[in-house]
Amino acid sequence: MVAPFLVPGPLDAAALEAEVRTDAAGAVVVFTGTARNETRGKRVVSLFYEAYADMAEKRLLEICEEARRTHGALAVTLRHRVGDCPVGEAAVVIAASAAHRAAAFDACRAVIEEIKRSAPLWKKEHYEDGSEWVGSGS
Amino acid sequence: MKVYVHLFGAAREKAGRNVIEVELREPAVVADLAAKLLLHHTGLGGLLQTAAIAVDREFAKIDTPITEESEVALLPPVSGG
Repeated sequence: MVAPFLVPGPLDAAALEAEVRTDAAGAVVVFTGTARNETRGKRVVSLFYEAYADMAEKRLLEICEEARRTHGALAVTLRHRVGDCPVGEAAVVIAASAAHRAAAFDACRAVIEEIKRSAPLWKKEHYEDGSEWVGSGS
Repeated sequence: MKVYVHLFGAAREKAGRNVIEVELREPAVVADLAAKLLLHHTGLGGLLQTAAIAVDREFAKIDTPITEESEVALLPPVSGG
């Protein structure tokens, strides 16, 4: 059983790296997407992530599995934060292991791109003077 | 039949609730739901133009069937990661 991908608190990149590491892996790539303090010229105070949890857990599992298969990686997993995410903290961590580095890098990259394309997750940016749902213009 | 549409992100906030109830004539497909939403939930405004609809936790197509047992959700453009 895979642990839930959605986590309502700080993410542990080291633990995720350990999860995918095996003796057959010549490469482990860990990608961390962090909450940035600025976007489109506005100062960001914090992010808020909302998920359609049941669908997101299912979709994120599919995304990891698809990346592992497509790129011939050994193991691929991730955690995505839900709820408040202060600036500087990780919003998403992805770990991929493979026999060689190319597959590990490619799998990691494929996962973050696919999350942004098709995982039912929504980010609200909080500014000093307001807030906005990214991509929805409100 | 009554269909309960779960709302997320900007759609949830705009509607001021997590779920909206929509009356559909059977048999129904996603296109019927979209038409009803455009007609009766004008408060969702431009979001309806860009949102996707999920049925039973999968992105649905315009001709995906909807029954009374379906889990239906309105998904604004996603912005995870």
